[in-house]
Amino acid sequence: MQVNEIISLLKTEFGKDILFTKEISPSRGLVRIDPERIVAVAEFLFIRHGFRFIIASGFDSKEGLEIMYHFMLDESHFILNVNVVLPREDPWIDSITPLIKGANWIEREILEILGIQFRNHPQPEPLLSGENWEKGYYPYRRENKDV
Amino acid sequence: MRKTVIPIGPYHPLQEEPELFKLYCDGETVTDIEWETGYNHRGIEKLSESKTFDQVFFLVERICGICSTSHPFAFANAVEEIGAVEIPLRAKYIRTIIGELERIHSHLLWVGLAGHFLGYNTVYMWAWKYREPVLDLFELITGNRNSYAMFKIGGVRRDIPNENIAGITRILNELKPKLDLIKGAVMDDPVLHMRLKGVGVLTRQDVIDFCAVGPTSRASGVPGDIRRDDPYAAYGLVDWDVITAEEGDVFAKAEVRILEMYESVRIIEQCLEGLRKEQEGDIETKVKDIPPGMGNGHHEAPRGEVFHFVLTDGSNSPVRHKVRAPSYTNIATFKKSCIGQTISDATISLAAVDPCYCCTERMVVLYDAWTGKPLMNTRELVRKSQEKTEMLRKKIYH
Repeated sequence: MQVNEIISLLKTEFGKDILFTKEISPSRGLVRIDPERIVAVAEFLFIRHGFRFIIASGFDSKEGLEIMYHFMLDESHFILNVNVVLPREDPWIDSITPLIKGANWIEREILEILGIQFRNHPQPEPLLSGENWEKGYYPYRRENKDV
Repeated sequence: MRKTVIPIGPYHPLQEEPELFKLYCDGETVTDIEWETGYNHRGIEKLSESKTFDQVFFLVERICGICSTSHPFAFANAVEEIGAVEIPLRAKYIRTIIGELERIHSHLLWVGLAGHFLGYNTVYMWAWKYREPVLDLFELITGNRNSYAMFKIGGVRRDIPNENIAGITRILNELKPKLDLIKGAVMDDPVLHMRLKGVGVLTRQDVIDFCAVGPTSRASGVPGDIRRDDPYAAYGLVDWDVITAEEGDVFAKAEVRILEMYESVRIIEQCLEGLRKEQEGDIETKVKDIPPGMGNGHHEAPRGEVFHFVLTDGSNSPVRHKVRAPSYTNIATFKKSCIGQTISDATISLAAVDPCYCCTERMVVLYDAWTGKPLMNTRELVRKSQEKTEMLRKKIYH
């Protein structure tokens, strides 16, 4: 399989919920999806097409709070970046941990650095910060950029 | 049911770095495991945003003392992907040599530690003894036993002069029989077969579910290896095999690591041959600036895939820099590999993934307790270190 093929399959399966796609190179792809469909897209990639979940990167951009889920199809030698944008006020998204156990830690980490809530996460607790960490302080939010 | 909790850590003689494992036991059997992390959290991703691209190399190199070239490797791959930088062939060979030497020394370190955990101290002594010549090679090539500062955007910082290749080859040739010795001591030992087979088993499905990487996944029959699956540096130019095993137990993990060292020697030998054909000094492509974009860089470190995600905006610093070390996914497999084991098997099952909590060791100044005078300060240590490097150079190259 190639990057453009999986992008076409995603478009066919999810239609208008695929908001933007880009084939960056033969080994890198980018798709932006409706956040409500993250579990379905993760299932499509991880269960149906055998992608491996590498990790997710959370960051604060001009558009809002973003999560980039990095999936790789090892035998086809390419990475697919699945991007979602969430609002800064009350950001939440469905957890993919019930589907992919390897996402447990990173969702907890994104929760503590950006304050994104993961619905249905089996253990929604901070991963790295100590008990005395200030509640509601998220170091990777733009307002704390220069701290 | 009454349960006993056995804590390992956060500071424990078994572990070099702090991390707390709580083993919930029913009698001798481990029924559940929980862990606490964050004792060594240094905010490196956040710190990276305040550094220039050149400075970030020195920062990520200090994420881990053992795989100190893996993070710069992955970071360079990510940034060079954004800038579409093609590095000279000679630099590709040198990067690959450094990456593979690191694999050998890291696997030898693990074999030694695993032997020590099992009370098989002969293997521990041998593995660590024969790891020393590999570290000497690092010192010769880079000037340091660890934290080599070899990588930069567009290439490497130091060349390997062609006249030194013979010396490096000689050390590698001397290493091969030592690897045979260690291979025999582990793989032909009936006690180790009985002790390690069927212990800490991870099935193929467990590996897929937990997204485990590196020898941890390859020992369970999942043949993922970034060097082959997304070739970079010189990995696509040399001939080598991905080592896998099917059993998923601790013995299989040991087997994979030991056999991988032979593949590393094969790769290094071919890279050294490649170096002879390339012009000396051609080790860098000049890069003026990095355009806005995103890069996914990864490298197959000794413990598995190191992944770096970098976002840039055209300035000389990353806007976001995400780092994922292999232990981040591998440690989570303990939930499978330790449960149902006895306490004595749980410790080697924990050690089998070669967990690394992203350590760094720091220099300390020692003071005489009686006089209060420093016994050795940084300057003296550096001088002694440089003298030793010079002595090694003379011994191996001349």
